[in-house]
Amino acid sequence: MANEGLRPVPPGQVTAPEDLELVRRCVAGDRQAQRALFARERDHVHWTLFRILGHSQHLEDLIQDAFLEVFRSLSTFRGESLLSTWVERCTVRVAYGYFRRKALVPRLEPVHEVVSGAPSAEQRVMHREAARRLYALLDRLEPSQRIAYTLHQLDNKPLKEVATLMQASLVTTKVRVFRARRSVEKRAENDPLLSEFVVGTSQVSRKR
Amino acid sequence: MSKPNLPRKDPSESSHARILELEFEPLSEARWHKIEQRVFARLDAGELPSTRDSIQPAPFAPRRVRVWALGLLASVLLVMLALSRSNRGAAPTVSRISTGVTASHVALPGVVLDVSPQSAVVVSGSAEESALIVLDRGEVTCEVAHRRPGAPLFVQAGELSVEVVGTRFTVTRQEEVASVTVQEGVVRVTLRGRSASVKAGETWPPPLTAAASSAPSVVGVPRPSELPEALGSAGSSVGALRPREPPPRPRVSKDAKEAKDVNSTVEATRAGVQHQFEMATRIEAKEPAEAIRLYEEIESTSSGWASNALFAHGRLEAARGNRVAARRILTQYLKRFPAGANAPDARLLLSRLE
Repeated sequence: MANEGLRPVPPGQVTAPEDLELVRRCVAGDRQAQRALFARERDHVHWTLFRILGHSQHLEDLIQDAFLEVFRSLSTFRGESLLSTWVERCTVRVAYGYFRRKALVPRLEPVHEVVSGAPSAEQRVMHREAARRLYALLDRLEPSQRIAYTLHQLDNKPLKEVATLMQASLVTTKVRVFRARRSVEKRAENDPLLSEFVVGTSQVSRKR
Repeated sequence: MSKPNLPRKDPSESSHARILELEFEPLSEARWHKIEQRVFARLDAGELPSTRDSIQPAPFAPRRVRVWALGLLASVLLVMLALSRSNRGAAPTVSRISTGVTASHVALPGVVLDVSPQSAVVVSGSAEESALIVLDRGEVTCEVAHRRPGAPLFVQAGELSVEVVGTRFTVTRQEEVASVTVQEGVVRVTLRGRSASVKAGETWPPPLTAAASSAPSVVGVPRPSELPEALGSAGSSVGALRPREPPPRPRVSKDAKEAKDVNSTVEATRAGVQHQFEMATRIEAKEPAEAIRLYEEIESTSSGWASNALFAHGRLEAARGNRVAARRILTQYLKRFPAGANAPDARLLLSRLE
């Protein structure tokens, strides 16, 4: 991997100098630096994919893909954002690619081992089932809507950050979140368990 | 149980998030180790992410923009098409000519039609552009002024298509059987992808007496299930005509042009006989007598279709309950084509007719 692809950092760069150094070494093919980046960002990548996909059998494959995407694209990193944000953006792109590749037929995947923080066993079961049903609904959404929804509604990221991660405008992101939420809420209306969590929350989200 | 140290809002802000107070399920160190090994192995192998293909071209390009762009493009194309059409003269017209007991003589721009009694013709297009004459039934004679290049005239009679440059010819259609006779010039006749040139004084399909040594490669056949119950329950396996081996190609002269002409004639003849055979099978149910007449015509030739026609004739007679005639024809078939593709079926059928 040659390092000539690393562009000069503009004066307004926000990346910490040590991160830039790490990137430079990664681009130069320094395996130790690459492992360091992997170790630093792995939970972050896992977390992002987990929120978007729920518990998927493809999660570990996508983690690999995300890091491949990171290492392959690192030479284009210009230091205009935090390195972690840039990695997350790569991760979101990989998730998006996964949904597109997965095709248009929604396939339901069970959400295993999802444990709620609620104290009682009964509530845990309820949350687990609600999560399973929610991800089943999300499987029916367009990938862009699903990703916007999960990042904003489930991961509580501000819309602006979601827009940055998805490389879309703020308005587009708002529309995606709105449509996804409307779709989820509409479908959840007839589901007493799910509706308790997702119906009638528009006001809350609009404030942000 | 550790979440990554990410800046997150209080989940209680969103009810949606409440459902997802799902605890992050961390992977064990052993699994991370495996993933890390795999990542670097793939990296060393120069492998790209499997999702890369689908994420490269502007992954989040809004669909609406693409739809609008396509709509805009379609609108521009339509406008261009409309403009080009308006520059090329009058819009094409559609006329329907239907005759009763008397014939009709109709002069249209660029074409004069003699429509025989009990016929129906639909004409569309114009003299400047391509035109189409559809013969619905009966007979029409067309006298076509010389057409400019790129503006041919087509006559369609069922599956038969005749392309005209400038000539006089007659097209006849009876149900699905169509024929063309050319008085002047040359027309190109197309049937199911096969084309043949028909010159002045020629008829398409060519007369069956013009022996064609060609045989069908694939045979369209009536269904054995049409056989009467009297033939037994196993009758459904009887009567299917089997595909035959392709016949040897006719010898051609050394002269390339002459060879081409010969091939063209043979192709036309073959297509004509095949067409006739297929018509016969098609009209068996409605007009069995006419179908038998067509079969008999084909049987009397040395065409490769003769064996098929003879067997089909025998099978049809059996289906109609004419056991004596069926026995006679099937016996004749076995005598004439003892190793024919349908010989086993003929024998089986005969045994049931006994």
